[in-house]
Amino acid sequence: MLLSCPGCGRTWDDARRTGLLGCSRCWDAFREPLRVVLHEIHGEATRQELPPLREQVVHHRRDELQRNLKEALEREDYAEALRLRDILNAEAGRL
Amino acid sequence: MIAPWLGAGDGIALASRVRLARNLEDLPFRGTLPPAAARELCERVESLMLPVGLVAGADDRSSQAVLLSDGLRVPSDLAEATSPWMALERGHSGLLVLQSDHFRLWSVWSGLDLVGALDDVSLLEPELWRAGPLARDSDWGWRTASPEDVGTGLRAGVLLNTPALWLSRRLGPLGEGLAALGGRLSSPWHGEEPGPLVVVGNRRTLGVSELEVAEDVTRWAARVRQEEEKAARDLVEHWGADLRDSVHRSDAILGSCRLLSETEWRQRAALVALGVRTGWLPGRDVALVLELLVSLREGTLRIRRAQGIPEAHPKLDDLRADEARDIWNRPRP
Repeated sequence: MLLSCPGCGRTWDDARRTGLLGCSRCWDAFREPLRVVLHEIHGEATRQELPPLREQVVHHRRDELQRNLKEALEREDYAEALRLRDILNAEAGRL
Repeated sequence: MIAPWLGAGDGIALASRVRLARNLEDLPFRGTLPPAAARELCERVESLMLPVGLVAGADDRSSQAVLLSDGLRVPSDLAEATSPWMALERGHSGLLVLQSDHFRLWSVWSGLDLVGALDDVSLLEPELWRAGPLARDSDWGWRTASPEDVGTGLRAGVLLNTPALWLSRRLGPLGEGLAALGGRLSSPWHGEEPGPLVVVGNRRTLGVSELEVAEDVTRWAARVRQEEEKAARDLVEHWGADLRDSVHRSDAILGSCRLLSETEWRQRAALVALGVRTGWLPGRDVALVLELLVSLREGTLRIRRAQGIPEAHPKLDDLRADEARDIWNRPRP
């Protein structure tokens, strides 16, 4: 049976030949064959549950700054510690 | 200067770039979108993004769009496309409308700092909702035109200056090793063979977070940088005097040649790049080498030297030599 997308009319054969889908609804229309393709490309067929990108980046930055601050305090580099504390305070308002 | 983010760093890791693919829920992707609707999207997005400081940089009607691919602002294949597209820019980040996806947010940072580049695009990403609901899948994340980009839609890459690996023909095995890990080693420009400049990037976009991708690519780039340093040491150790002679010959040839083939250009440029690294060419720097490696590419040469190219010019060897001399003999500060 010829699989085609009700949204844009693209067939699965077209999509496979060009490597491109025609619209967002193709992801529903070709779900089963896409599952196989995604496993071949990515080795996984599901996404991770993740917070929004902005949140991930800000948390990553904050963790990094806190780690650096701890290290600065351990080596008694108080000037650097003050600088990092100020950046951390400024970062707190970014999310 | 080609772009402010190129030519800095440690001389090997030159720039870090991320690109984030997003699509609108209710609009066909680029391949099935009628040209009039594509043009309308470009114009609509341009006016919607003006308040956040993204301004039009180039589009399919720009005669010199290819030059934007030199600084990694626009992919070279898109720069040559005739169907509607648009590039909006803000500092060292921007938005491509209608590459293969509706939107590709990008950012390029100097040196090895993919998280910095991610920080930039994460600020811009929420602004895309101004254009309408974005296409998202409950199982697979962000829906993209190509299944290769689904999930995060993130392509992260580090531009590396690797003349020693290229001269000693070690890029191939390194690329194979990276492929086995889920990465890729390629030319910065679409369809070109990897030369003395390469990009190390990710292939996998599904089942990993954006930060995991950034960490993987950073680790791979650092490894390639180590291999480049080792390859340079090996070359100097084994071919010291001969290599130094070749470097100085290349320096002289680039400043005086009248014909320069594509093959010889890459070879000479890689040798002077290595000469800069080893300190054998005082007064030359990475930025100059980078300009030599970027501006003598065929597409760029055709734009820069358009006046001097006869209609049926069989080769660009004389124009390439002109450009090489201009760059290499430029008065040094």
